[in-house]
Amino acid sequence: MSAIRGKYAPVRRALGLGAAQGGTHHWWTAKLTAIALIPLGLWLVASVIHLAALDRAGVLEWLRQPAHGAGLILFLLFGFHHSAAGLQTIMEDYLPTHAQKLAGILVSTLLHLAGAAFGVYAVIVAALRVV
Amino acid sequence: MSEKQDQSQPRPRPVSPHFQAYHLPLQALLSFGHRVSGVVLSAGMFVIVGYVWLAAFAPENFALIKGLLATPAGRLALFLWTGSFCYHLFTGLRHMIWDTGAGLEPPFYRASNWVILLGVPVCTVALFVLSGGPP
Repeated sequence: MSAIRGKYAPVRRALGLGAAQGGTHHWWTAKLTAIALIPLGLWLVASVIHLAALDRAGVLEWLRQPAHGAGLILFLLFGFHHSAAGLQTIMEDYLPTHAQKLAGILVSTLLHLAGAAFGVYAVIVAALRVV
Repeated sequence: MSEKQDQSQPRPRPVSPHFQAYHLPLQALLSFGHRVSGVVLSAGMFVIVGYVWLAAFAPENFALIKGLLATPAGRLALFLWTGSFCYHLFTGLRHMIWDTGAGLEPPFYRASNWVILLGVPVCTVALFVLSGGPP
């Protein structure tokens, strides 16, 4: 790490400018989740269209199938990760100042973590609900 | 016009061409659409969580979201969301091909433009028909 940082002049290092050295991991996980979301997303979209016509009892009955509940949790984890990575890239590109980028990415990341937690919890509770 | 620079004033910085001066080819528009559809799908993630949350914890309010989905606006939203997914899938696959360094030549991106423009409606309608949803 120090060897990599060594290529910056001291003032740039002090100002915290230069690459964060985390770009490869960000890019790689975005691609990895994208590949997982090809089958998961197709299945999820088809399922949502199917579920839209059902009442609550029908939705819970669907969710109680182990493959459906586990599949939905998997979709939420990959989906929220991919969504957070994508929105971060968009904010890095379009938000004008460093402070705005930082604030936007912070709020977005926290909302996505909360979304994943609330979603996974709701799937488990819904699957265990007696209608 | 004086050839001599006025040293008291800072030299005007070079200005990049105005946005409208750039040529925006179809593949650039489709690539921007990849981001737009991604934002739509991000919002959809939170709607899905709300939907499951109501099913788990608010039985009395679940009929409300089901009723919303049944309205013309609700059906349209579901259709556009499905379309956004298909669009993001098709353009995303092309971006993955581009990531490998392949397919950057005009014959590939011109042909794949049409694969996207024709494939997305087919994918969207197919998902609706196969899932037995209201088209």
